[in-house]
Amino acid sequence: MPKDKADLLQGTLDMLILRSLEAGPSHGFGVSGVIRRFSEDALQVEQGSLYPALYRLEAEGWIRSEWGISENNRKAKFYELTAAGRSQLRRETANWARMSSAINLVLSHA
Amino acid sequence: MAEEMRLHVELQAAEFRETGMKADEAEMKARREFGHMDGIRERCRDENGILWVSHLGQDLRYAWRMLARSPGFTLAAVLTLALGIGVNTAIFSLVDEILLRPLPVTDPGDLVLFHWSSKVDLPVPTSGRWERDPVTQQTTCTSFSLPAFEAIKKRSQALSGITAFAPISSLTVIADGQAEVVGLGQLISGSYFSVMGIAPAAGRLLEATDDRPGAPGVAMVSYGYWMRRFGGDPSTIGRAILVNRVPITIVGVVPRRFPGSLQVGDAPDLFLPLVLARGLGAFEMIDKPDALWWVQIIGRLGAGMGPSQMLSELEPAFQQSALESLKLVGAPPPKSPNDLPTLKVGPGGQGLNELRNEYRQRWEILTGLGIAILAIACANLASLLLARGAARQREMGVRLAMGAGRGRIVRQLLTESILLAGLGGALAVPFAVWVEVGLVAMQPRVEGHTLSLVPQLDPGVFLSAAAISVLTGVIFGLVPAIRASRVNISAEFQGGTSNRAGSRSLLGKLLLVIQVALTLVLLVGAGLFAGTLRNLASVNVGFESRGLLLFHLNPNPDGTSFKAGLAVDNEVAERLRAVPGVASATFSRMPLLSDMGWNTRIGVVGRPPRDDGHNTTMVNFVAGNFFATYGIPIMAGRAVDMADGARGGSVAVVNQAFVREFFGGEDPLGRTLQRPDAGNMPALITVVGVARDASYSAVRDPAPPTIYFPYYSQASAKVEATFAVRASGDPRMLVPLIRETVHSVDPLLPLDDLRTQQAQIGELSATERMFAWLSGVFSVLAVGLVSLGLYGLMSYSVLCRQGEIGLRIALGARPTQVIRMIVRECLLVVGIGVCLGLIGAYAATRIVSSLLFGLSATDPGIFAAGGVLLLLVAVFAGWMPAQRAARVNPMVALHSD
Repeated sequence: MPKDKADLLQGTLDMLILRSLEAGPSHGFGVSGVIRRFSEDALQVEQGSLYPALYRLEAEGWIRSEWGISENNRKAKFYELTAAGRSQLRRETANWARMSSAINLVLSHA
Repeated sequence: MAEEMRLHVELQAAEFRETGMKADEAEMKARREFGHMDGIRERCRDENGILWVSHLGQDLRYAWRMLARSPGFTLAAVLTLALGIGVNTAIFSLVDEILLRPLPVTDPGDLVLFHWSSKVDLPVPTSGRWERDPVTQQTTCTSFSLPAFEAIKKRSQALSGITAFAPISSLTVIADGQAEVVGLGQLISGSYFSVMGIAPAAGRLLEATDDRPGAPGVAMVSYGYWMRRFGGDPSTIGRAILVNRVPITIVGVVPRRFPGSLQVGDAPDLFLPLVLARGLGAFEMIDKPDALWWVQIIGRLGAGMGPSQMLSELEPAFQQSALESLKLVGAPPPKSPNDLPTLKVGPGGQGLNELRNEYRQRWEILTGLGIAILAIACANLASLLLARGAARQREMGVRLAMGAGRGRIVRQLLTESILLAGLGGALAVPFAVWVEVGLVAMQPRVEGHTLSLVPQLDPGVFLSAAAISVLTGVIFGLVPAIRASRVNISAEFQGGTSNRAGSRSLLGKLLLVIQVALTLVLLVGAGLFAGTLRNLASVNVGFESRGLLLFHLNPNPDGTSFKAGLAVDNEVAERLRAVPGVASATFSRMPLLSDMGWNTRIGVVGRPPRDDGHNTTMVNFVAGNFFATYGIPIMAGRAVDMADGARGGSVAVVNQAFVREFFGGEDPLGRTLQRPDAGNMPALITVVGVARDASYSAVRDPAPPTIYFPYYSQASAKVEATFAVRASGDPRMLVPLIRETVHSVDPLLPLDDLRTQQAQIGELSATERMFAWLSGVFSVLAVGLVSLGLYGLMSYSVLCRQGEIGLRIALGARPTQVIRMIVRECLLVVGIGVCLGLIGAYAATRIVSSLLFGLSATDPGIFAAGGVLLLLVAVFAGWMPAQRAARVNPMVALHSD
């Protein structure tokens, strides 16, 4: 697993999770569903990446979690964006926009 | 966490069901899609940073397995660590104990030791050490007369306490009808223990009431003596014993940690009140005890009074008592009051200090040795870890490829380093104890003082040595760890060992250069001391030292009845001569070559005194057969014997050096010598014989001018004598017969210090032997480490350069050229190390130059031999890897990259 690629993916996944929680609190399955739907099934988040990412984001203080009841009446852990998470999302979105436009510029020159 | 993930699977399954799957199928698919739940859980934990403890356990288990898998590396690293930490812990613990640590008393910093200094020689009899400042020529001494102590004590309001003490040697103790000679006792004034501020281990302390004339005789025993002689029996308190035939009651035990306040390493077994001094025979050959300067004084500073103010109050009283002493011995008072001795104080928290200074040089050398060993050990450990790191790059590659985190790998390698350090440290503790006991046992006697210490490991010292080693382990474990974690996985699988080899082996080479340099310093030291021992052994001492058995008798330790004591000595000598296997037997006051001496001022009647001030000669008092037994030929005139006592008159034999020094080559026979300080011995002596030169107290010194008086003219109170028995066969066979003979003369007379003359001479060079032994053992170890290191480095280098070597061979390089290339690389590393080592040795051996004999500290032969030895090691260590390089198959080598 070459290092650079992993880093890129990880950073992007964080941003996508934060974005999906902007709409409101959700559990892990919900987050993966939102990402899949928003990307029109282009992005499939692997559970092996999703849950560690959720824990990492919580440790960073960008999201917080509490136990609630899910739609099928089960105990579920709901994640919610914190204020710090909101501003982090803004930063990352801006970064992403800058980077993708830069990449597009390069590609369009080819 | 598990709950959360189960929910995910359930929801996923529900979703699949909605798309029309069967229930069990949907659940299976959901599970499959989720993946390995435990693996995800572990990664979540990683993200959270919790449960590192369980990882630590895992790391430790893994580290242990890895270490166990390469036992050679592990053993080398652990032993290196144990050596470095152990040796240093031992050396620095002893340095602390001998040189630095204060006495275990209350506020040792408040104690002051009194001494005096004088511009002119003070003609009073002193027992104790004199030191002369080489620059100012001032004499200083810590001995005072009892009246001086009383005078100072009377005016000592500025002090919160003051006490006097003195050593007393060769005490004969009779307890339960068994006699033995106790090495050393300490006489103390009544206030001693209250000034020191210590409590007894058992019984009570000696007090002021015990130190009054007419008080019943009491003593405290040391903890060690209590254990050794009485088995720690509590009923020892109150037991009656005879000390030098004086009845004494044991009243208490001194705490184990308190060694008294005599010279460092002295461990008195008995503490006795000063008032008993005379009865115990402390005043040898002195008829006016008040004139003898023999006690040391320690005071405790009170609050608010500086030493200088206190001294100005005490000095007049001290100087007055000095004048009285001079009057007592009939010496004239000094010409001017400025020539009176002045009173001074120094730190007293360590007791007497003179011998400590004697030990200092020796321990400075040992400290240097310890640091060199620690440096070699650390460098060696570092190279071991570097080599291992390099060898494991492939393993790291595999682990990275399997998905191990880089941080995790670094942590794993660190765990291994720390585990190694822990094992080394654990092994270092018993090793340090062993080295410490060995070092104490190897300590030579200094001026008749044996260094008796309870070896203790200093935890602080251990921790510092361990910290240095662990730090080395961590740093050099980390460098390859970080490198390894940056491994380019695909390169590892292509078998590449090519690129970074350069920088690694540069660091490795640097470490080896350091090791080679330090090893050379050790080798040169070992060579110098071995040469010194050889030179000392080949000195002609002027008498036949082989086949001589010596022992010590003290038939009247209380100093009474010189005649009766002398009769015992004569009887023992007579009976010994009759023992089969004894060729000859005699006794004398001073043993030969025992680092002890007795000197006196002397003049020749009818010749002007020498103007260079050299007017002292060594003295010995000898019984009949002395010259015959020791094998010292009489060159002119006759020997002295016991019959000279009956004939009356004072006669003596002088040696050839004496004739040269004092007679300027004139015929000395029949001439008269004059002793200015004869005391109650005859002042005018007739020379009746000339003996061939024989060494007196040290092998190193050429035979000094010596006078041999007949034993009876000693006129000392004590009849202390060293007997010499010449055996016709092996002297050791005589030991039981000699004991029997002495026992038959007096069953209560302890026979002390039985040894051969050879052993006693050997003891004189104990310091040199200790250093020869230590530097020899350590340099052998260091050479071994260096050759292993070189071998490892060159093997690795050959492995890295396989491609290049293959290319060279493909292009037509002959095997000998390849071998020469590799060996040259090896020689270059060692050559640089040797150059640095020669410079280091040149600087380092200066501190040992005063211990050397018969060669210079920069002996070119020894320096060259050490360098050549290491270069040979380089050739040998490089040879096998070079052979391997020469056999490189160019096709294989070129294909592998």
